[in-house]
Amino acid sequence: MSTPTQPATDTEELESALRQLLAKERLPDYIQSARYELSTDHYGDPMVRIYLDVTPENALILEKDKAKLSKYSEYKQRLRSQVLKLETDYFPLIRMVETP
Amino acid sequence: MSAQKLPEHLLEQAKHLARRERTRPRQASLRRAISTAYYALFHFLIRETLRQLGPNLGQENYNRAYRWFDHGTMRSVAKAFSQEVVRIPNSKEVLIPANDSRIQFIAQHFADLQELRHLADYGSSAVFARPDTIEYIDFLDSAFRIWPAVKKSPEANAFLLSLLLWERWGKQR
Repeated sequence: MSTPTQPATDTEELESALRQLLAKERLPDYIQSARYELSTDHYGDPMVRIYLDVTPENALILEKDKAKLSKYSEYKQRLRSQVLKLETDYFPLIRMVETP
Repeated sequence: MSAQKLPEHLLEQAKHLARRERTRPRQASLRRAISTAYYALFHFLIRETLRQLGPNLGQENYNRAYRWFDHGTMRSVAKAFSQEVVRIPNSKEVLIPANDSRIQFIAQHFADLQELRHLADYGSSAVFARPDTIEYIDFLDSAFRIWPAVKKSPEANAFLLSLLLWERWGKQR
């Protein structure tokens, strides 16, 4: 998953942290699974895209329930901060994906 | 000044678009909501910068200064200010040793929204989830509300100044 333009230590550290952060047992219960992709943003700068898979049923609950959505927001914020703290060149973008 | 309320009106429009369909949201509505939310924050940051740096500018010069802002530079600044320790561009020197978390959040959301706007406007296969879209818009709503409490902080001053003069921080003499 590493891109050749980044120092190997940068990506190794990031990927190892991501594997831990996105492990099934560390995800909130409404998130089915999570994955990441090392890529670039629309300017060509390094970006780590993190996808959080939720079922359409859970997506519906989240959009209707303000308290649950706020919890999701907090989770996303924590995850983003943990990735940013690593100070690699990869800027995180966390997105929810509806999966049946 | 013309369009002084543009950011608030764009935010209102983004909220409407994100919840436009009662049941299954159309991707077109979510894409336009994201794009509109990005522009709400883009215009908000420009307006607040000009209010602080040029509060007495006449209309014509205000409009001229408005055009100085550039999406790419604003993205670089947002990425740097997303961190707790903000570093001067192309340097290890520290600009802000302990960034205000509220400025960090605004900067992070700006960087996110710019990338998402690009996806929303040009990504043919991109699919947006409504909870995510609403979450961004809710954040923007609270950011606009907390701004008066944070705008006079040294971190906010440095953030806004950077939106125009980012590369200049590294200038030695």
